[in-house]
This record gives sequence, C-alpha cells and structure tokens, in this order.
Amino acid sequence: MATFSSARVLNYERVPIDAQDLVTSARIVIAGDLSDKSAGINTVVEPPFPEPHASLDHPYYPAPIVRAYDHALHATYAAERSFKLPSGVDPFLPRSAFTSEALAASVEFSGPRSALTDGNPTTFMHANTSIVDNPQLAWRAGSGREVVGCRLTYALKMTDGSLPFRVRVFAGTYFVQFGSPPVFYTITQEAELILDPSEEPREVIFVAPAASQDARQTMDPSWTAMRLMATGVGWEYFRVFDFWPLVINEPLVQDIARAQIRLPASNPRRVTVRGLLPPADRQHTITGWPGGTYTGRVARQTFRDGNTIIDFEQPGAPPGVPAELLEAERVRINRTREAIQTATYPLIVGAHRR
Amino acid sequence: MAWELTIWNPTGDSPRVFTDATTPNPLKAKPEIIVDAGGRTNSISLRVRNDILQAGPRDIIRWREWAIEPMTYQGQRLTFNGERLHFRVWDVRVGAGVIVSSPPITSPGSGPADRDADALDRISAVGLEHLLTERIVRTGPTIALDVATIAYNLCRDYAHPAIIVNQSNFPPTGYQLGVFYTPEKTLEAALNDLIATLPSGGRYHINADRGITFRGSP
Repeated sequence: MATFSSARVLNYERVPIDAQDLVTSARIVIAGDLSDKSAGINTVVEPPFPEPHASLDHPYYPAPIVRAYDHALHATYAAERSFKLPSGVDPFLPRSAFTSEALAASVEFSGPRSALTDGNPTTFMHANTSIVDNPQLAWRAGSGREVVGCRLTYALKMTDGSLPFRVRVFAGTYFVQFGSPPVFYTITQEAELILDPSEEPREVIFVAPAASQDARQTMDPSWTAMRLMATGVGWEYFRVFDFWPLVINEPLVQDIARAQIRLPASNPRRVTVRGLLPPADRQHTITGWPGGTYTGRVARQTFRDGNTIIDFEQPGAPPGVPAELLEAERVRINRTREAIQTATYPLIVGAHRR
Repeated sequence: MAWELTIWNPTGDSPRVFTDATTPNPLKAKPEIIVDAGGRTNSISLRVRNDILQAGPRDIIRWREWAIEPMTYQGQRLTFNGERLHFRVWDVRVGAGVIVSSPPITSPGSGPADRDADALDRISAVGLEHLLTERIVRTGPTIALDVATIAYNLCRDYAHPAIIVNQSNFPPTGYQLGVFYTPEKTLEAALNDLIATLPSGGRYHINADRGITFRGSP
C-alpha cells in the first residue's frame, strides 16, 4: 500500500458507477454440468424406483446439487447467477475425513476395514463368492454431513462376461438393528451402477442427485449414510480397495461462491498522481485530501508519461475513451457470450449408464 | 411536448415521478431512447442532476411523453379558473429500462469545463430484458402443458421482482410440450428455449409498464 500527499495529485475526476455485471447471489453447481470432466464428476446413474413402479413410467430428472451464497444486498438487487465448479477443484471432503471406525457394518465382506480408506492399492476388502446374501458395505458419514455419492475403487473378475454386475448404492438416513445378521432400515434415494469388469483397480466416482420430481426429494435431503450392495452373479471375485462417501466440503464451496459476488462500487473515482506507484499495490492512502485522509481500494492503474492514473473501487473507461463506447463493447461481449452459452450448453443433467 | 420520468427502486417499489413541471428539474437535456422493433427497449441515455434525481445503480426508469394541444370551442381557447385547458395527445410510454451506469447520487451534474461529464451527469439504462439474465430457473420437469403456460409458470416463480407477470400476457400458443426441463439455466435462456419449440416461432419482451409478454407467432 502506498501513502502519498495530495500535493502529488494532478487531477481528480469521478467515474460512473458501473452496475452492468451484478451478482448478489452465487449458485455453485456441484453436479449438473457434465461437460467439465476435470471435476471428476462424470457419472450420474438413473435410480431404479421401487416396485411396482417401472422406470419407463417414471423417468429420472435429477435435481442438480447446488450450494448458494446470498449477499446481504440480494434482497435489494435480486441478481443471481449459476456457476460451474472451477476446473480442478475437488468439492468433497478428503479421505482423511473418514475413518474406518465410521463404517457401520459389513455383510459377507472379508478383510480389514481400514483398507477402505488407507489409500493403499494392495489392501482391500473382498466379497465372498460362496454366499447366499448380497454382500454389503455401509458407511455412516456423521451428523451434519450430507452424503451425495461415493468413491469406489474396485477390481472385478467375471466368470460369465455376458451378465451385468450391478451395485446398488443407497443414500439416506440410516438405522441399523444389530444382530446376526444385522438388519438395515433406510429412508433412501437409491441409485444403481453397473460396474465393468476390471482385474486392475479401477476408480469410479459417482454422484446421485435426488429426482427433482420425486416427493422423496423434499422429504429429507439430509442423507447421512451410504450403503453399497452387490447384486451381480457370475463373478469370480469382487474386491473393494477404496470406498467412502462423498460429502460436500461446505466451507470450501461457500468460499468459492462468495468469491463470485459482484457489487456496484459506491463512489468510484479516478486520481492522476505525479510519478509511478507500485503496480502490485491493492490500496493507496492520500493524505491531506479534502474531507480527511482518503484510503481507497485500487481497481486499476494506468501508467502514462511518468504519471499514474489510479481507478479507485472500479475500473473506468481507458483514459480518453468515452464511457459509452466501453458500455457498448460490454453489451456486445455479453451478447456474444450468451449466444455461445446457448449454443453449447449440454443439457445432460444425468448422463445415463446402463 | 410534455414528459414524465418515473423511477422505481431496484425491486420495482417506491415510485418517484418527475415531469417537465418539476422544480428544480433534474433533467439537463432530453433523453435518447432506442427501442427495437416490437417494443423492446434497447437503451436509454439521460443527462441529469443526480443530486436531485437520486437515481442509484439498478433503479428502474420509464420515460413517457405526450404532446399538448389547446382545447378550443368554436375557435376560442377554453379556460377553467383562469387556467388554459389542453388535450393530451400522442401519450406514449416510450420505454423502460434498468440503470447500468450512473453518477453518484451526490453529483450536481457537469459544467462546460468538466472533462468527466459522463461520470457527473450521464445515466445509461438497458432494456428490462437484462434482468432475465440474472434469474436462475430451478424447477423440476414440466410435463404436458401449453408452451405459454410453461413460460408463465417460470416467470411467475423466477422473474425479477421488478418485472410484472400477468397471465393475460401469456395467451395460449396451442402447442404443448411433452417435457420441459432446464435446471440452473437463466430465465432468459429458458424462455428462448421455449420460443425455439414453437413451430412458427414467437417472441417475448418487457413493455414500458414492466410487464412481460410472451406470444407465439400465428
């Protein structure tokens, strides 16, 4: 931050308050835009509805998983915008947030429970082939944690490659009646995933949004548990190297949403100062300013003829360019951007794998 | 010509009206208003004393203008209580827009020597359709409804509070959609998608009374 006297000020002028791009409510879409493969969210499955409903009668329209941040001025301006998750950002809690002790129960799986979260590709739990009941693993994510999907690293060898190996994943509130065998009671949203055979460990990341037209979606969105149940036949071995629930990292996503907020400047101004100021400064203080010392946030600096033109709070039109030309350019850019967005928006909220 | 400038706050409440008879008058010059074919306001540009007008960013403005002709009978001007009577003719609500560039509300306007006249007294507004780009549709699928009914439901639920949504402005198009599903899209994009489903096309716009209209082409 530079501090200098008003004696260095050569010129002072106001800048129009620019309110063209306003965002007072930012909505971050966690799962809903499947064009961004880098986010690692690339599979959404179609849930089978319980009997007697047939899937064809009740097609799946997923409700996108969204986290929103509303600024206090949203009640005044009501300007909201939806954003994709920035590329490369993992919005979920890491594996270290889950311990194997949180695993509620397993049925017909052998091996150390720690294998599910240790990240070691040589340790795994494996389902027994000579079984009567479907092998199951169950997680309780912890109070206040909403489960939206799971990460699964598995190896699967089929004896009959023509048969599908289905894994049903249940997310919901979870209650276990311990006994032998344990009994699971769930209020759930179910999703079904077909796993491709792979003798090498293979990772699947999937998110299962609730069905937007399903009454269950409004019943209780706080799913805190995840259960995986294998229902396939004709398999030689099914090994699980990693399995833990996807829980949104709420503070991270809120920070991302908050960073998208754009508010109008209250009193933008442009000050021309003799000499050059540090380009990296984000704030300057002018002493001896009429009305008292002025400290302003720097939006842009222009260096010209040995002087510095500082735009405080908000960048103005480049010096010498009328503001209306700049506005016309912004309008043209926004219209072009909207035309491109309309043409390329992939309406694939829920790519189906069968 | 007489005129009337109405200003609402960003949510369309608390209207304030200024006319050619207002003293002190905030307008320094007549506005320039560009309206696209069909009544969609493109832009409004005003030169004002904002310390009188008190227009803030994102306030809604509407310009209305009319001509006055003297009221006569058998060639004689009519008066009432000493005041001459006039007809108001060509009463036109020219356009309405949302302010996207404005001087601070303390700005007294510019003088001939001011180089930053744009910053001191120029207000720029764009058509109210801009507000449709700042509202997000969150609905689930809509099934088997007339296209205009779907548009009305979307506008009723998600339009900006400054936009007036009246079902009479959404006459049935005669075409039904099997499924319509646009989660997390802007309301503008959703309306454009609905227009695209109509075999003969259609259009929507927001008129100078802040009402949104949606019509399929015949």
